[in-house]
Amino acid sequence: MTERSDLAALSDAALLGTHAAGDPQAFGELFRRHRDRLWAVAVRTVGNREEAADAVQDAFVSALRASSPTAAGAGPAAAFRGDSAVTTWLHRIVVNACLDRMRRRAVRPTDPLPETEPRSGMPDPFAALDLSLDVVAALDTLPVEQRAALVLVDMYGWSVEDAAQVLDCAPGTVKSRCARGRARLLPLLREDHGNRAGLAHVPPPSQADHDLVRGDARQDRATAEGGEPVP
Amino acid sequence: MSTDHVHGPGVHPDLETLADLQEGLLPPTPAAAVSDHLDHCPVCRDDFAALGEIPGRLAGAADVGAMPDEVASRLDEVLAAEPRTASVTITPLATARRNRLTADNRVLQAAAAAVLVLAATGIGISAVQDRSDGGMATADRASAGDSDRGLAEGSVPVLSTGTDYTQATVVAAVPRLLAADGPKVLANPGAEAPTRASDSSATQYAARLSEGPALSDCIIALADDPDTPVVEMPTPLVVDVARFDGEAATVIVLPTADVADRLDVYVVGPDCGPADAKVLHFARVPRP
Repeated sequence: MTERSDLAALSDAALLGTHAAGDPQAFGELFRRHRDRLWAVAVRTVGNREEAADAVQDAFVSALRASSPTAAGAGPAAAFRGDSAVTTWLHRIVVNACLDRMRRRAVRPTDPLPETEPRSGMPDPFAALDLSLDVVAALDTLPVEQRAALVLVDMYGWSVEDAAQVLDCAPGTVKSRCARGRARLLPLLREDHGNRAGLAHVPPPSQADHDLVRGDARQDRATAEGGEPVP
Repeated sequence: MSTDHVHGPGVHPDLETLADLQEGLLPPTPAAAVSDHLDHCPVCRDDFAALGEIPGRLAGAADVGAMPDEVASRLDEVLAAEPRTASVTITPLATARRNRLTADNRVLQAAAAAVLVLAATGIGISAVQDRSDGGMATADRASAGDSDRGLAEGSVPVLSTGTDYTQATVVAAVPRLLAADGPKVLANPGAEAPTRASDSSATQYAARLSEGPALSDCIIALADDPDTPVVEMPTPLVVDVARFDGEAATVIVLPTADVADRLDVYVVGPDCGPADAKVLHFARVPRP
């Protein structure tokens, strides 16, 4: 077994290799090294600490198993060529665990339930929202894919290319998710719900009246969510 | 996305279109049209600028503090409870065999004998081989590597699930021990969760296995025992440092000599070796 002090001197990739070779301490060292960064990404992605703790736990357990010597092909450790690859891999596992949990939650905070859908004569829940939302609270209202992309790229400064590896999608998809997420955040972050009220600005025409009533284009953008956006 | 709406007086691009423009996602023609619009529309220009400020506002909310101690320590415990694995390198028996075995030993076929040397930290990734290569040591291997104890010829997983087996459950556990990737081992609803004490001692024992010749000593001792049905010393398929009827024990799963579709399951005590080759339980089971 390797001493802690010896492990501390190893690179991430070497630590994973040592773990895959059977050192029971190596993975713990890797965990200690990355846990705070991964914790932050998980908290901001899932939006609360309880679920973030569960997601990080899921992620580290599966990372440990995937890189153990008995895993098929001796785990992914053999494929790592540097610490940035290890960091990306760990983030991918954590973000995936977060996304899994959020999808299992089934109902997103922003998805209007049928009974809360604004109807004529009913108050629009957004109309009561006079003050701008805290940026974190606003982030929590986004679809999970947009949230994950914004957390990585805008919040934690990942490049679009690296974020694409974490999210396992094309760089263009990351850009698109970020753009849509920002477009959705903006009205929530402004006290006056934006100065676009009254502008005739958005297709489809059938939505335009509704948008005017609501004061911005939030609803049509919400209903346009779904498949991968292709400009 | 349709971009028709960006044309004409009084029609403004929506926020998505502006955000797409910012990310360079619009095709050239609509991009030019939206840019033109921005040139003469202060409202949209404000929106465009506000969109550009969002990354900074998000970055300002990046700090969530360190992982709380209670979360970190819970995770440490969970990770420590995962089945630990160690890589076992097979080297020909050579000197160890000659030192240990008497000339009239009737059960060991010298050419097929191998000693297991557990290799832990010093081993590179390349030495961790597919378990399918960790089969029986052949006569060729034994003679070719006679004194080369460092020769890596395969690996055997050493788990420490801490499971408290009984005669019935140890047999039933063989398939998932062989799967050995981990998830099924702890997920088994029949497996008793290890206490911290037993888990800790099992982990320590697994570490001892991975540092010294304890396992090879044990298997040699089993082979030396004329009361056991070992006729040659095979490579274990999996080893589990666990418990048996409440006592610390090690489960060793070996291929049955000359019977391809059977496995031999030995349960031995924690001190299994030359001085204690007592077999707590033995079962021959179908190979899953």
